[in-house]
Amino acid sequence: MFEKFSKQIWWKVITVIALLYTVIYGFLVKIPDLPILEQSIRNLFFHVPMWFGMMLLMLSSLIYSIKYLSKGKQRDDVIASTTAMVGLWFGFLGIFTGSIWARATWGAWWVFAEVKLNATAAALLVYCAYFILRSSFNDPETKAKFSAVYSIFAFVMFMVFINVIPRLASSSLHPGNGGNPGFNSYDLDNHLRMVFYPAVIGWTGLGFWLCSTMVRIKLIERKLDDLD
Amino acid sequence: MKKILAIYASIYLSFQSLFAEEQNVGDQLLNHNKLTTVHVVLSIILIGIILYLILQDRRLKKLEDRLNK
Repeated sequence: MFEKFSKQIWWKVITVIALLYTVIYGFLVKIPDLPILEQSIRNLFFHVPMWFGMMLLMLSSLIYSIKYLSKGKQRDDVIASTTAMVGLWFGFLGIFTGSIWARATWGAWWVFAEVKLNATAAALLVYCAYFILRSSFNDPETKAKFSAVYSIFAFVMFMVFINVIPRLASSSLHPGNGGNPGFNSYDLDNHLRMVFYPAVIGWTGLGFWLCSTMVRIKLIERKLDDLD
Repeated sequence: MKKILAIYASIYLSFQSLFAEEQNVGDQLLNHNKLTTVHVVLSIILIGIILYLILQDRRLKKLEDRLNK
C-alpha cells in the first residue's frame, strides 16, 4: 500500500498547494488582536501542524513495526524506521518553533519549570534511543526485530510524555495543559482556521513525501545490493 | 526542470497577488520587517525542499523502471 501511495501524484500536488497557501496567506491573514501573542500567533500555522505531522508519522512507524513483527518483511522495517526518522525531524522542528514562540510570549527560549517542554524533550529522547538501538546491531533481521519491539514501547511512552503527563500537571504556561484552555476554545477565530487546517494537511503531506522518497531510495539500494 | 519551475512560480505568484489584494499587503506584511524576513526565508527553504522532492521523484521513477525491466 505504501509503495503504491508513494508513487501517486495527487496528494503531492495537494501538499504543494497547501504549503504555498500556508506560507503566503499565513503571513497575510488578518489576525485577532491578542495581547502578548500579537504577531507570534502566526506560529500556529507552523508549530502545531508540525506536531500533528510528527504524531501521524510516529503512528505509521508503530503500525509498520507491528506489521513487521507479524509478517517479517524487511520492507516494513524500512518504512517503520524511515517514518520514525522523519517524525523525529518534525519533533525537532516543533521544539525549535515552540522555542521561538516561548521567547516571544514567555520571555525565555526554554522554561525549565514547564512540564510540557520537559516532557516533549524526554519524548524525543525516547525516539533518539530507537536509532541508537538500531545502530548497535549488524544483522538486519535482529536489528529489525529488536527495533520493532522497542518501537511499540517508544510510541506508548511518547504519547504518555506529550499527551498525558502535561495534562496531569497542576500548573502550566502552555495552552491546553495544566488547566489552561487550548487555543481552540478562546482565540482561534475563523481567519486563523482558514490557514490552520490547510497547514496541517501541507506539513503532514510534506512529512509523508519525505518518507516515501527516502523509503524508495533505500529499497532501490537494497535491490542493487542483491544484484551485486 | 524549466516546466516545473514555471508551474511552481505561477502558483506562487498567483497566490501572492490574490491574497495581497485581499488583505492589503502593505499594511500587513511589508511594513513589518521581521515578518517579511521570516516570510522570504521560509519561502526560499520551502521552494528548495519541494523542488528537491520533485526532482528526486522523477529520478527515482526512472531508476525503478530500469530496475524492473
